[in-house]
Amino acid sequence: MKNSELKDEMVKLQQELTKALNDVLKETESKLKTSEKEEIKKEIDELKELLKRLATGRIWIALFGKTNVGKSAIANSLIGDDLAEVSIVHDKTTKANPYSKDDLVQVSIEHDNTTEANPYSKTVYTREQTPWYIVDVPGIMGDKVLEDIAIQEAQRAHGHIFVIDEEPYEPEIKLFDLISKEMPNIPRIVFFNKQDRLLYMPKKDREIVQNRVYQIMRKYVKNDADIVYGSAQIYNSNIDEMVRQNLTVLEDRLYADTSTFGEVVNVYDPAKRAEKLSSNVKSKIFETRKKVARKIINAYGIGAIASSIVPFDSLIVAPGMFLLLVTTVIKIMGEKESEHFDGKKLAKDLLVNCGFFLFADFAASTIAEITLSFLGLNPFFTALTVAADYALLSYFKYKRTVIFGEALLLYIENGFSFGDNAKEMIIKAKREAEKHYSKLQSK
Amino acid sequence: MPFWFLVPIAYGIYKILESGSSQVKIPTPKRKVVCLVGRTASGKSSTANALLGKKEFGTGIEHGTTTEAKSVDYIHGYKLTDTPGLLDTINYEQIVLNEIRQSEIVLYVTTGQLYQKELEFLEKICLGFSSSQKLILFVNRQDEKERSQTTSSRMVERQAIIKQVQKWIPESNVAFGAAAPIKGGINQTPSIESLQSTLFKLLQK
Repeated sequence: MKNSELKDEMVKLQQELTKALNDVLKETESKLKTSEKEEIKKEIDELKELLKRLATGRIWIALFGKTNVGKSAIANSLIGDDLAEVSIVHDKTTKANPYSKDDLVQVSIEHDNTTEANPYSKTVYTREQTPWYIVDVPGIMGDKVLEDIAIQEAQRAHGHIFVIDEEPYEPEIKLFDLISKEMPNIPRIVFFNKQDRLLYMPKKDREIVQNRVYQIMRKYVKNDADIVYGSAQIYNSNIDEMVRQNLTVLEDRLYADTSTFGEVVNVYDPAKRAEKLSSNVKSKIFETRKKVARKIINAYGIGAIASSIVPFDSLIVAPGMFLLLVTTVIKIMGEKESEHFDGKKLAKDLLVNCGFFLFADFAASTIAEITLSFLGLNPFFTALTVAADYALLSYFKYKRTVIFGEALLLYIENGFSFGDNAKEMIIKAKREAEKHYSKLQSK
Repeated sequence: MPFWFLVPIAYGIYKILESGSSQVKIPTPKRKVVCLVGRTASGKSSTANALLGKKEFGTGIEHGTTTEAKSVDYIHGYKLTDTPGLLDTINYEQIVLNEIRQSEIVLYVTTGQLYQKELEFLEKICLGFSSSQKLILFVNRQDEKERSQTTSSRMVERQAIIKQVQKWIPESNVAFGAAAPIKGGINQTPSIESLQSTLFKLLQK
């Protein structure tokens, strides 16, 4: 599936979910405890952020660092093509180049090194064959950057790379502090560019520099392996040219580190790279995908609360939101749509199995709902419907959705099959739901 | 009151009236000092040592090696002052400005194009300059450039640097070299002829 198609799907999903989530918050605001409200709000915010970024269809990486540290060259290396014009003169990267079509490549155009107050500009590099959407935030030790804009780009990105080429100076540290304070939880990698320069130093000096770098930069990353050394370009004196280098070491860090960058990156793991990764990394990737899928399932669960009551037998005929959940999760888990399944049939199969094996949790609640709504028509029993615990109803709707979601995950994990014992899978789904969704644990 | 006492006062008043501006600058006598200034780890101490021909000042690859201003005897009755570096996490600007105020020649050391804060600093010191003060730029670490950049980009960068500082420093006062060149991990003899000839021209004046 092309990234552009996935992007359109994500945009649609984002719109649907955003509406559902906002409806939920509106509906439940007066009926839930403050702590519950806060929890939902936080989940909503986090998910909205994730979806907003996923909706771009790519992984946003923001590069931060002083002028001439080599951000353009790094972008070229990651994209695997010489898109960016790398120039020695400070502030070559100054003008905003809007991201155009998927198939076209983004090139940085040289501009005059003017000192006029040019409103901030960034340069973006991307290419169809790679998942990257790289934003080059102009050098902070040059003329052009404003702190607010840097923060804005920092907030939009999935992850940051702090680029240095020597022990950082005070203005660089100030910027890194600012960005990491604004966004403490965003995945981050420190990349020391022009590593080849270190190799010319006496060993003692080299060690001093690496030590200093470690001491200063370690506070910005979650673990030591996120401080990476490399050279985006190396000078070849025989031909008197700069030669672009592959930054496999940086790329591997971006892909393989599931506890930081990989959280988001691995959702979009391009199929062609999957074979190159070790089985250990592959299983980590799978776990990460499940983590993201669970966020989606949780969101649908919350959305289910806001949605109207649908009798179980109607659900079988028109799965509605359950079908949406199926198609979304399938994508998150990295499966191509046409290959394994018919979405509608799968949704129905899952619903039938869930309803059959978990009657009390799945179908029964619907009957109760129907009964109560029926009673509600009778003014004598209005008090009864009001008293009918709204939260309890919500709980049932939510629970039904997340059990369904977990059953789907198990189904996928089992190679798109219920296996010999569908009942076992469904019951396990209920256990998994209780384990992974805190809302169920509180009841 | 002795008559001669009135002379400098009269001179001062004369100067104020002549300038006709509200800015009164009592001319501070500039000592015969060459003061090295620049961002941290740009090679000021190494450059000072190279000019002196001996290791007077401590050097190091890490930032903040030099933490205070120190003066030693140089040539032709001049002193050479090394200062702590700018753009460090500790702000030494006041110390540096203090030293500059008393120095006839300011030798700004950089390793390449200057960063925004450095340009602002140059502007600041030139605003406070008296007519007797001079500014030289020394672009250090050319040995490194030769093995890491293309010929054309080196030329482009040189021109860019000259253009960056042209407001404050004429091209004839911009020198390129390497105070502590390294080859194969071994220290080589300093390459500072261009700097020395530029500096000596100003000293004799």
